[in-house]
Amino acid sequence: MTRARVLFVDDEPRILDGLRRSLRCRRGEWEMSFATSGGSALELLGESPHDVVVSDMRMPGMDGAELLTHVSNRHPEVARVVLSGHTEPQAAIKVAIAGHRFLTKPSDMESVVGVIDQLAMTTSRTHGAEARRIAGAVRSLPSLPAHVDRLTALVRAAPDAELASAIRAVSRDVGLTTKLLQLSNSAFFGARPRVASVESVVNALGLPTIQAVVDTSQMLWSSVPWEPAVERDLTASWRHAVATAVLVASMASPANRPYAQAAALLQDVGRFVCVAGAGSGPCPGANVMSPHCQGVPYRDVGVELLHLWGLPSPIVTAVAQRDLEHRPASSGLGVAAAVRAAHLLMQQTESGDPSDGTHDDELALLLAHPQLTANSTDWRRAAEEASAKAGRWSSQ
Amino acid sequence: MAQILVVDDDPAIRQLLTDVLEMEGHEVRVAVDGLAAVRALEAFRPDCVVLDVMMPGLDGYGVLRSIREQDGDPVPVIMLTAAAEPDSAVRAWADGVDYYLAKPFGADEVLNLIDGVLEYRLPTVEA
Repeated sequence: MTRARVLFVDDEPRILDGLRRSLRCRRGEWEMSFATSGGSALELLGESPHDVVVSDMRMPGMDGAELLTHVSNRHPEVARVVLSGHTEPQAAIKVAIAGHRFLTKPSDMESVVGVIDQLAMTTSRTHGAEARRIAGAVRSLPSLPAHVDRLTALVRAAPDAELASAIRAVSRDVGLTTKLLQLSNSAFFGARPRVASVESVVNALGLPTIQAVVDTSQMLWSSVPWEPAVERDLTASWRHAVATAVLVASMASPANRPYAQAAALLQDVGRFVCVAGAGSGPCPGANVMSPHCQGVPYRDVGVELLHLWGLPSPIVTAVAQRDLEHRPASSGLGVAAAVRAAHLLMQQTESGDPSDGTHDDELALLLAHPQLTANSTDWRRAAEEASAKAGRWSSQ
Repeated sequence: MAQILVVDDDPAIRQLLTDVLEMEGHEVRVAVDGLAAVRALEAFRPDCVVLDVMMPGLDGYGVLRSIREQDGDPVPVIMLTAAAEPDSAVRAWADGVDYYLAKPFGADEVLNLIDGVLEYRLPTVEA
């Protein structure tokens, strides 16, 4: 394996010296370079390819958010990590959009090393570099036009408005759910690690932060017109995703439930990533129902985005494996098989034909697992109800 | 490194699980029966519970019930049971376990489940 090329940026040479000293043991695995300003960081990135940039936020001249925004445009294949001390909430939101991962200073070296090692790897076996480049360019995902009004109302609501309505609005939006799970996995935004459900994310981050995130990501997309065909296709894919999320909530075990629901909602996040294109608006004429995005399977692109953004690995794995055949283990379905079962059953329900698929045997085997027969639920009926619920939400 | 609570009245199983989990760098606490487990869970919240079904006094289902009554994100529970009790799997799923292993099991089977629970696997997309 080639050595990962990592660039550290901080205006205080003292801090860079500290990093250099404590990371000396990684010299075998990483090729490290150091820059004391955003400008010289961009020069270094222009001179030779890098895999990861780790930047401070508060720097004179070009700050971390500005630097990382430039990196996302000029070098989308470089993973962007923020390593920073206490910051004003407003600056934190700016960098929340520009960065991929967020670490607080001081951080123990073990977590800094862990994050960099993870980001040095790509998830796609066959399209690693291309998937990284397409997903890396994205700073926020667009919301479907039908969701915008509800989200705008959320931003305008009083800071002490009901959290429940915020949870409802956010938990049905693919882009915002992804962004909030990204932020919630970091101590940087005050959340504790391993927050899995949208409800606990909203509670942990608090309404003002959520409002600021929604506002900032909406601004990136508000001026972009949607092609009617793209909107129609993405709405259909969204409807399948929310229906699957509703269904899988009763299929997954208690501790796996929040992960399974998130994975179901984000199962086709790759389509949103492809629409986001180079971060400059839905590509005109993008065919979102095609299985590819600039020659790369959209699933690879979506999974790479979830990996870059640091979502919990059971969610990323379940999205990665949605289209693989699953043989349920006797020890339990886990997140991935539960999502697969809910997805296949929902597909049958949507097509209106209970025996049209090519996955009948696999689905029958999944539904016969003791985890799903223990409660004697009629899963086909549950799927119809979930589908009807998603239909009501989409027409609201 | 994660905190794992091992609940089993069989000292051999407790020792085996403690050894393999500590070897992986986890912090292991043990409870020798159901009541001890419930008391331990009042004081701390582990990242994962490995729970035997058949125990004198409060059995595994009773411990599971008290775990599922806790507020907040549910704690992952791996339940261990003797293969001779086929109905126990159905009951365990109905009561809300996350994973279920019949004895005898290999140490690698437990570790594999725990790695998944603790998110130690890097995801990949296969071609």
